[in-house]
Amino acid sequence: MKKMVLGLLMSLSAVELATAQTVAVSALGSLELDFERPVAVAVYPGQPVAARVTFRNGEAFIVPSPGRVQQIEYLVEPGAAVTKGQPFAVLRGPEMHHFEMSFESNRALAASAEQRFRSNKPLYERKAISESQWREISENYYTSQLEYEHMRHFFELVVDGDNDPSALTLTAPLASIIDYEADSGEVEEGDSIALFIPRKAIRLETALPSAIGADVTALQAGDCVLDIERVSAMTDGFFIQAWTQPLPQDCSLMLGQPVLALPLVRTSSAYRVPKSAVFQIERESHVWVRRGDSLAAVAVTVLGAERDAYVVRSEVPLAGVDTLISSVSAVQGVLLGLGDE
Amino acid sequence: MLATLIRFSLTQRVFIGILVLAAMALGVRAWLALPVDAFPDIAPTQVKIILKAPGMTAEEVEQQVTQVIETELLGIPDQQMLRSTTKYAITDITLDFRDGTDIYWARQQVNERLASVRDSLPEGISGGVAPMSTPLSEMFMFTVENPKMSLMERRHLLDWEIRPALRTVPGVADVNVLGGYARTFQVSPKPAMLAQAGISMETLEQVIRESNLNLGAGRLEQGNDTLVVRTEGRIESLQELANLVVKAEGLQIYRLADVAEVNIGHLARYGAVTRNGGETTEALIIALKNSNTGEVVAGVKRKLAELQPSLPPGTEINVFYDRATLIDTAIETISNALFEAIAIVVLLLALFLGNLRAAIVVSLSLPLSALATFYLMSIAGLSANLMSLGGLVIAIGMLVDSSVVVVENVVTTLEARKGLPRLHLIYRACKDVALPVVSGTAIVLIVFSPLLTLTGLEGKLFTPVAVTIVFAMSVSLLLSMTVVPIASSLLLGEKPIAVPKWVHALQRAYRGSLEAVIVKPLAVLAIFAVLLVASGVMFTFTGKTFMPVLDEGDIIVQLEKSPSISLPASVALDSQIQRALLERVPEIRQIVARTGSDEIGLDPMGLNETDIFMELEPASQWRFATKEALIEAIREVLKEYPGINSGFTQPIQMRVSEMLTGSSGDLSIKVFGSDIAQLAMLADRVAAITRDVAGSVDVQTSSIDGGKFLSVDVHAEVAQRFGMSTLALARYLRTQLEGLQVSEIIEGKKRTPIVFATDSSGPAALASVNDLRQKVMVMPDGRQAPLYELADVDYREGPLIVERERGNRFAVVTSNVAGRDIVGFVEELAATLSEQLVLPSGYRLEFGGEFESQQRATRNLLLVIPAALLLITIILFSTFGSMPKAALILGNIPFAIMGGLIALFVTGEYLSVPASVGLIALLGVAVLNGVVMVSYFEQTRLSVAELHQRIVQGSVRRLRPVLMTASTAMFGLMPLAFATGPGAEIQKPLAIVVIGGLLTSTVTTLYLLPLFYYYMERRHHG
Repeated sequence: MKKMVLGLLMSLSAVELATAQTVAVSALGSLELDFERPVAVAVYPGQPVAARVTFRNGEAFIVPSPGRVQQIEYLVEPGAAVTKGQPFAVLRGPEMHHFEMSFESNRALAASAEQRFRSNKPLYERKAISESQWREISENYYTSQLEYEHMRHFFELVVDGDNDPSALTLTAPLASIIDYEADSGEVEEGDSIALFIPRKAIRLETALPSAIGADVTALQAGDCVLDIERVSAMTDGFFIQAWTQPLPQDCSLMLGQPVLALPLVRTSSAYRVPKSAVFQIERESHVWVRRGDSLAAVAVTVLGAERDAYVVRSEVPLAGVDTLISSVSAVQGVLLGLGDE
Repeated sequence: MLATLIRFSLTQRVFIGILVLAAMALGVRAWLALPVDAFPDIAPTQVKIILKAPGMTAEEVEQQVTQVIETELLGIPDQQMLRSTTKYAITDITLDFRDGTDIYWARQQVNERLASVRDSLPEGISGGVAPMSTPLSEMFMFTVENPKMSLMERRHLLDWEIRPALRTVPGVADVNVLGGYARTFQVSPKPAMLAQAGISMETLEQVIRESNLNLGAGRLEQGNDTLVVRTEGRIESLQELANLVVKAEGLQIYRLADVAEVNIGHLARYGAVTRNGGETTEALIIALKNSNTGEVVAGVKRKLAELQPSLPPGTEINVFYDRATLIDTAIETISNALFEAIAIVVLLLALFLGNLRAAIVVSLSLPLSALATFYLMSIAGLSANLMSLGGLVIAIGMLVDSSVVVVENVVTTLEARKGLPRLHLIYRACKDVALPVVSGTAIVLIVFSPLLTLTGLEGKLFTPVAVTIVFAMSVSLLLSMTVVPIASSLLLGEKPIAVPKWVHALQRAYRGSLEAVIVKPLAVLAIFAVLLVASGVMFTFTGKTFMPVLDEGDIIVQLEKSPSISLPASVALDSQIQRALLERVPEIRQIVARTGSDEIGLDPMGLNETDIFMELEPASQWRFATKEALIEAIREVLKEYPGINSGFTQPIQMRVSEMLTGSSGDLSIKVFGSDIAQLAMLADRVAAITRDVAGSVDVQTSSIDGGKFLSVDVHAEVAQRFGMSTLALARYLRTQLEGLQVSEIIEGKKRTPIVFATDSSGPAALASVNDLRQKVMVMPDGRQAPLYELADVDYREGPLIVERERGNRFAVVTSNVAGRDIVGFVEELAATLSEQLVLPSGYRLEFGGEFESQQRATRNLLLVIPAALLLITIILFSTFGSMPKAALILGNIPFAIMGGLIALFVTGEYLSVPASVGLIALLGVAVLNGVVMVSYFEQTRLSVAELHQRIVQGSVRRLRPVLMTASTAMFGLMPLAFATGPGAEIQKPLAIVVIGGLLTSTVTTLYLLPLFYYYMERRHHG
């Protein structure tokens, strides 16, 4: 209780101190005195940061190459939107035929292995075959199944193309944005043929200065305002990695596009005031607010700037209070004793 | 010799006539060719150094630039004063040399010294020795108006079309362009893009610099021909700049536009110009030192008229200051006074001589003397100005004195000795008076000689006066010995010239009154004694000042606002005040105001300082009878705008004050010391005390302390990891705040700088301290970091201005003085300050400004006038061979001065330098009258034995010449005393003093001199 009273007294004296310097309106002669009422704001714009339109690891669907590919003809450009089942590339070369043969062979081998597995299973259960024989059958079965499924998944994406035995036409596995390296050379087995990024995974990634990282609520890039969805819990040098929510439909940023984004920083007790209202006394910024027949200098902290306004923090509530926006420096001059002649 | 000259003239009349005609022709030619100006060249030999040090605080500039240069300059010989004003990013060092120092030599000395310390100055310092101008060189000002053109377009037009054209006008030293926006090709790097592209700011800058070049590679010989090989990369347009390749890596080519915004921008503004409340652009013509103002202004006007058709449609050159107007008005005032004086003198001569022919003979010396004086002025390099022509007006009354004496004697002789040959009689008559005429003129010339010893501003102003008088008097003396005898022989008729009846009546009245005075002298003596004492009392009550203020026709109001004010806020306040003034003071035709610094830096004002220039309607349209009343009305409007200091001045007055003291105002009180905060405190105290002294107006203290700076202290431990040095950081921040010129684009004759800068309205602009702290920097290695990680950003305080004289810092308080004399004001102020202000050790006060000039002038005159009086005494002694008689004549002087002082007191004029010159002139006239009177008493010593009769007869006989010389001198000055136009103010006190002094000295010459001569002779002869 004692602490509360002391705190209250201290805050009151801080407010009094902040408004100690006053000038009577009647002493301001014919100076044009225009007022505006500040509006309370919850965020202020920080200094622009670099951001990139991207996606988080794991959010993209990767189509790996089933083998070494000599030639890939992409049917859509990187970054293009594709629908599920839309052909996006044609793999060419003698290996394609081998792929198909290999697929058929794998299917046959898998079927054969399955049949063997199924037929031997009752025998194993009756202990008719040895443990080692059953392990070999099982391993053979699972390996051939795995190889077959692997190829089957790939071949699920293959559609009939131009009946060219040396070509395979691939289709998109889902409606998404396609990405691939257009200038890559030979594609080995397991290499990515293309990435399919779902629209809902596309977001801004940025590195926020660590001092404000935790307080940034959104990024503004052009007309898009995107809330911060995740902030890394560790810093990378002076910055913290952060990601926004996915880009909405109306946000016309392109995947991979580097952008300059304004971080919108969360704040409290902050107000938007015209730039012409703020002036300096000693080392502090102030605004003149109307208190009855006089103007009182209220100390503020300039947090950030918009085009014609500042976002300031003030210990004294400013929302709806008449704040001087013209002849501010002349009133400041009165305080400094200028024009005493 | 004199006899030979007279004889030669009378025998060689045709030859002399031809010589006179030739002299007249030369005189007319000289008059037409004489440079015309309002003032003589009052500037000392002065060399200014203006250096710009972008981004440096006043204290840093002082320590790293001003002090270094001052130390080097201190060794230059013949320097009189070294002072400097150092502000944020600029230093202005002024070196005054002794009078007569060759300006080219002085500039060479300064240039050499400056060159020798150039290498020790910090990087980025630009500027040098300022144009060879004087403080009065700002002679023509105009704004460029065109509603269809933006401020940037108007500024561009001024910079690249109008300014180059005007600089070709002979006599133009430079054209100072102010206001508007100086166009740049602005490159606003995008830090994020740069980082992603792996391009540092340094690389970007280097690429632009190294690409924007045309270089010669040599010559290629092909068969019999030689081909010049060149590499060409000069960028010629914004588009080319935007497309400049800054990095190529594989197939990825980064162009400038990919990593930076490339658009049209403007240089950081250090000042602005407003006209009638709206922003505009202004040009200010600075004339070369010693140029002919009239010709330069005429040349500028011709050039502007030539340019007008080629300017964009709708462009108006709005001239708001034309020195020619002031010159024309002032010269018209003084010329009118001259012609009126000539007319009055001729009329007086005719009245006194009672013969038109005789009057014409005497009057001939007026135009001839004037023309010959013009010729001599042209040889001496004097211009026709208020002072030199004023000298001629002053001399008009005295010019005829020699001729009057000669003609009067010729007339008398011709009448008395009718039998002898006419030419012989004229020769005899002229010869008889030759010696007194020469000695009388010599006395007058000696009397004016002290003016030649005046130094400083007063010397420059009054030397032309003295020189012109010496020229005119010398010529009139020569004419009286040559042309006047010839003209007498040709023009004076055979009939005797009778003394006019009114003169007879006057003589009769005078005889009666003189006899009465000789019989009963006590009453007259008592009256004169009382008047003498009264004049002494009046003297103590008469105000003392340096120089009357010349009404230049225009008014300047100087405003000083809060020291930390921004340019937009400063301009907004200016506009507010201008609108109020235009609305409430209809006498103001237009207002053009300059805020902040000019481009060249001749007048580096702060953003909080404004000079409001008011062009006024003709006085006939005013609601007020006087300019003082108008100023009071303006002051009333300004009083309604509190929080702003204001002071009144005029264009020339302002520059003259600044030339004298480095600051404007009638009086400057300088507090010398070392600590800026202490100086500021003392200056504030001095200002407060000054305000309490009656008569102080416009008291101002220059804000020298309280400068607030944001200091960025680099964390070297962190910054060095990224290769970020303090220099690199400073350059980076400069691109964000002020702009950094990296190259320029040449489009024909136009050069547009390429500047790294941030779009001030864009999101990346730094608009607060917090923004600065949060700014993400691109490091030299291409990585990024917020500024707060690299450096501490904090407020620091330091001086706003550092003013120095001879290497010592000082703070200055300026004040105008109204309603009382400046000397009395300073005496009271000095006494109050010594009572109320305790100066710490190492601190001292100095009074400067007009007061300083006034004190110097007084000291000089007090030294030289006694010497002149000694010379006069010697002449008088050699003329009369008697010290008592010389003393008797010198005794007339106090009575002459008495009249002058009474006249000053009665008219309310102050005792100023011109009034002092009037008192000096009085010495001559008073002595001359005494000589005329006493010499006649001496001449008739043998012919009239009885003392009383000799004195009365002699006095009556000399009444006419004494009255003629006195009245011609007195009435010749009447036009000056009553002149009201601009330019009349300076000569008016002089005319008033001479008229008053002549009144009393004539009376004393006519009554007291004969009386005292009578007593002296009676006592001498027992």
